[in-house]
Amino acid sequence: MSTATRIYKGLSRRERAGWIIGLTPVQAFVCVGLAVPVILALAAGRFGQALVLGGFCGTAAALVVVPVRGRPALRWLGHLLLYRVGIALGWSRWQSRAVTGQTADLDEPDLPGVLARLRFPDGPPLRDVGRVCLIHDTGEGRWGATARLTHAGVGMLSDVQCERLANRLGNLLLSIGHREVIGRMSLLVRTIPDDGADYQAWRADHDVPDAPTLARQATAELDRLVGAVSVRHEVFVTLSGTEDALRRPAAAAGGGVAGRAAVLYRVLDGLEDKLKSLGATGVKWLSGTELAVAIRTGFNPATAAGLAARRHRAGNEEGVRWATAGPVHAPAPSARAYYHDGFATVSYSVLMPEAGTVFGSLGGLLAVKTAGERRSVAIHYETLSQHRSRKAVRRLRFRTGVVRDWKSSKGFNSGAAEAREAGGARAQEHAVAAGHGIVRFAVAAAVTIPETWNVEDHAAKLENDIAGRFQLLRMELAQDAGFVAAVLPVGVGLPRLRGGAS
Amino acid sequence: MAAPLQVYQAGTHEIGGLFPLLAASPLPAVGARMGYDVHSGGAFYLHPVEFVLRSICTNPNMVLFGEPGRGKSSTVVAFLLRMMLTGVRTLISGDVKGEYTPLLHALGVTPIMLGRGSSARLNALDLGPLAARWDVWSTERQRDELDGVLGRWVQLLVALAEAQGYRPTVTDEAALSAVLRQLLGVRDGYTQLTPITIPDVHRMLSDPDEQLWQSLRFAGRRQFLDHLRSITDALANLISGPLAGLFDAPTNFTVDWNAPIQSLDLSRLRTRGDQAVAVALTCLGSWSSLATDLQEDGELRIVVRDEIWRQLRLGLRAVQAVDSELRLSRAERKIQILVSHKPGDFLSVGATGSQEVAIARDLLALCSIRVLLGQSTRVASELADVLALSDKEHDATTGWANDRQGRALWKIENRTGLKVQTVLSRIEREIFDTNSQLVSKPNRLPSNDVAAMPS
Repeated sequence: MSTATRIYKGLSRRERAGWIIGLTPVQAFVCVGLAVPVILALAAGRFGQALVLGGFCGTAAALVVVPVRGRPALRWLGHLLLYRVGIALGWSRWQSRAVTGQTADLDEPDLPGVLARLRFPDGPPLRDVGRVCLIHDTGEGRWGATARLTHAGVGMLSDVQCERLANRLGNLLLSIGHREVIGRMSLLVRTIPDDGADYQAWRADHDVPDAPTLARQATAELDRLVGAVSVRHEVFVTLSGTEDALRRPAAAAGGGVAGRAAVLYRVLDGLEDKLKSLGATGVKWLSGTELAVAIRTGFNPATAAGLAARRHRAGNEEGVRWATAGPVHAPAPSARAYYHDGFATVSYSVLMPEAGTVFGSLGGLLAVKTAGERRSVAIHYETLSQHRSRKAVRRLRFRTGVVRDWKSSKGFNSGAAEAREAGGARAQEHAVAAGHGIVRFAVAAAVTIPETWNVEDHAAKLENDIAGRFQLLRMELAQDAGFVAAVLPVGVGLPRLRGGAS
Repeated sequence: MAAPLQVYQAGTHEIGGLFPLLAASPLPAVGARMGYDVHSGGAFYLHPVEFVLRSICTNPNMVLFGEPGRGKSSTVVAFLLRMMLTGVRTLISGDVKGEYTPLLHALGVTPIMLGRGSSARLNALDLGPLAARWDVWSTERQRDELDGVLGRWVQLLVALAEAQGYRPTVTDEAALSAVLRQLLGVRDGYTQLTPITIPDVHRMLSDPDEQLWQSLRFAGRRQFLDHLRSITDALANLISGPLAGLFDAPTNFTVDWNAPIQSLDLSRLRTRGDQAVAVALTCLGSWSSLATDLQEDGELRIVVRDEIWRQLRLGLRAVQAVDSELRLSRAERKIQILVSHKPGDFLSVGATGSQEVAIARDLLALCSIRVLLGQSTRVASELADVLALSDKEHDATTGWANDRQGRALWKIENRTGLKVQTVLSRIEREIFDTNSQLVSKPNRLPSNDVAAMPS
């Protein structure tokens, strides 16, 4: 039995952390550029002018450098501009074509915002599980597939077992890095308010007319007692690889969608056992209609009831057609929330704590407190290639080392944070040398409630539930994209790494 | 615009700390809604047969462990009542404490009461539905069914003898089989079966005709009597001992197999001692399995074996009988529910390392669904050993489950345990209150009990 719970550290290293006192090269360059006129003025002895320039350039530098709620002022400005232009030109307003009667083909995806660039071709049958829907991100040039996992949960596992699961997740990501085809994995967990629709549909099929009245009374009372307050959990995993990595093997496998599917299937098959070692009891690769259901219920949780009833009537997963998978109507998103089909979603980027975290600490984000509320958490992982990993840790060690060495050579003491950073960098380099890899990841969380409820109230509750463990950064001005990253199992959310991950 | 998510980089040796798959995916929403899963906040549903069909577990049997008063019977009764909505019928194969009788009354069903003050008699060797169907069967089917029934009866008589400390030999079994066959009349080529009782068997063993001892290759009548003396006397004790008049006369009641629930209430038998109750449970087990086997309605049936430990203590044959019932449950569309206090009950059925203990230990493996209600520390350690529970699961059975009635750790095969709180509706709470016997109700008329007595 382990006596201490392991604390996982080294998760808070930002990808775009600056080189020089926390500045990125661009920021440093702008700062230097802004300093030049001041220095020139000083050199020329024009102190008055230098003072004025200093004030002006200093303010400009502050706007470039100082982050407010995660973004420096200039980025805010850029985002605001894009947001306003989007509204003015009507990009962000959304109206489903099916509703306006303009749909020509019901199997043609009709989705808003970021999703518009996705295509969902059906691959050939995979073993005995039927056709699997491929997700083609035409914007980023990626191909992927999504599976629905049934999971046994970790609530009753011992610390040792939890640690084993954590190691297995690390190994799975490492093995993804070793495969040439797949580079990204997204795990998405979302709760759904359980309106008992599935149960009602099952009961309607199995009810016997001469059942005792007593049993009926008791069940009716339980429907009210238990049915109204329970939630269910849905877990999805999306694996994807870049077009560049797929092109050659896909051409060898026959080319086109079928060739890409064939190459992806080889990897997906191999990863199924690894997913099961994470505690998944079932892995079901989604077909087109099933993925459309996941997207539809993402936009509108209330449709789950009707879909469950239809599924039970048909006896199989009937699903929805792609033309109706999106929301019916979504107004231009407000800066702080996204409204879709009578529901409102607030999305967050989850910030990692400096001091590390313990296994299962994300649980607070999924602990629904109010019946009818839905929460979701998505983690998008991308494993860097061995070469890039080695380069990244070397650069990190160098970066932390340079500042510390410079300080000590000048007689300054280095602080505890710096020492920790340097220690972490060294530990990471050792780990990579021992065969581990580097993963870039982003965590998104969201809360969805009926539009008529108080959005800010529920957003604040989510922030409160996780306070002390993680900090949440509201994705202001980008709530629609945040919604896709946090709620929909399509593997979109992680920005592209400059120069690629390999 | 892409979501401006904060991107981090971490080593694969640390990234596992951010593990999002925390809550269990819900079990399919089928069967009886029992309550809710405390961890995930989802409703908890139970339908053992559907679970087998959906590959969640391998057999539809359940076992419940819990100290008295922790909510064992409430959980079982709630399950039975809720399953009735889908037409699943129940047989309580021996209700030792009379806990299920209030439910039967509430449903308007009269339980069959055996023991003090009741004139109900159950023939342990009752032909049940066999007699009614005999004529319509082909000769081949008749032979098959007869072999099955004779096998079961021999098992029963042997188990009853063993319960009294005598370990029967194969010769005893052969003799019993020959006697039963002769009494039934099938050897003589009669088309109709003759109903028999235990006294008939005893009579035949103590006064054998020449044909019997010759066919069994005994040198003479004397040798037959001497050799079978022990088993003959063991059967005599059933006729004249504390169970006299209960299982040794023709059955004098009819069971309504179409009722949603039927129960054989043994609560009035308790005064006759533990041994008597255990023997009665064995007789009932054999009788009810014969009776339900031949129900060809094709519907699911739940068979509840309360206080199973009493029956198991009768010896190897009794353990084997329960074992074979559990193994057959899938084929016979039955959900067997065993109710016990602690796993030690299964392990103390014989000497350490004995065959009965080995089989009893395997009984647990034949029950895919294990419900562990509140336990004291010592018993919980035993449970943790036998079922290979994790530390947290162990803690849940000793701590969390003890805090409130109806809380239990549900282990479905080797899946991680689920903390489930059973929820009772108001109507159910009124009916299931097993503590009601402790509360004196001076103004209450004893009408229910009178009505319950079969004539």
